[in-house]
Amino acid sequence: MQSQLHLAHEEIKRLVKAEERERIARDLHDTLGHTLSAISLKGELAEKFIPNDASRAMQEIQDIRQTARTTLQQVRTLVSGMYASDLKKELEQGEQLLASAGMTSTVTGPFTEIALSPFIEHVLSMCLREALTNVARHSQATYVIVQLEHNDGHVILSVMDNGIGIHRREGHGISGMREVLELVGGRLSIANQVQGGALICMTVPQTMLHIDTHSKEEHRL
Amino acid sequence: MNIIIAEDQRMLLGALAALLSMEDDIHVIAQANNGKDALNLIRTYEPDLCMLDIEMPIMSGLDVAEAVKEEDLPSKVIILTLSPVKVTSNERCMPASAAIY
Repeated sequence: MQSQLHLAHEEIKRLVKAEERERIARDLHDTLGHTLSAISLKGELAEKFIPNDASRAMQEIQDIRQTARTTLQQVRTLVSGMYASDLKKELEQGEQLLASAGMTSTVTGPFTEIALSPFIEHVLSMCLREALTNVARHSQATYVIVQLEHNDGHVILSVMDNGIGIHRREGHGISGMREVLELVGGRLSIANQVQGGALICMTVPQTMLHIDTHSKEEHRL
Repeated sequence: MNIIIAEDQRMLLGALAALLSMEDDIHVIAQANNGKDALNLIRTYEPDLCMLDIEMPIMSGLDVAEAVKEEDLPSKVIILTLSPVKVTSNERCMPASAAIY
């Protein structure tokens, strides 16, 4: 039993690491790809402005300097692994993402009171990020509800939207979420609602939280 | 030539629009931050050309290109991507008569 538990924990660690590497690669590409393109275009703009409009050229050069500085900070944060792995921070970033996609969001539940172990919080944060990114990219929703519930021995994090529902085949992101949740003894359920829109439910059992919080030294993840 | 540009990264959108506006024969008549707004602008202004980022919130550039073709709108479409072009993207671009860069 003990060795099975150990093997399961090792497997979870491996999956989380793989997921984390993939996320860092994707974030690096998204961050650097866009900002380096912007810097390159702004460099070209500055060059064109120099002969006739020095002040506009100066403005572009200042933008380039500022953008390079901000990007450097983002890359440092990303690589150091300090990039939002707590649920509250992830939720804030998710709300910003939804707002930038023109969606209104409502958050309910005891996000500030609930005590999760760092590992469970990391898993839920990762899954929340994936769920909200999917909603922002594909749902065409105007309204999103993120809800945290704590009952019947489970912590349930759900994301509900009023968009077109989920009709495409399950991608890597969703199957990664399912895999990680199942390995911590939880589950993922995705359904289209009768009234339209999708409902994504991520559930983590309370027993896993007890193992994780009360025997930290033995099973530190 | 009248063009519409859609890109969700505002700084990139601004730089691209400013650079293209410097050309005498190009008029950037509208800009959008997502695919849905872009499609509405294309329907309204029917530009000669629209440049669409492949990845955008709400509707991707490929979704917009497919809608332009489906609705028989006269605008030509260029899809912009920073990633190596995936086979699936090419497969979707060709029936939509969109060029990918």
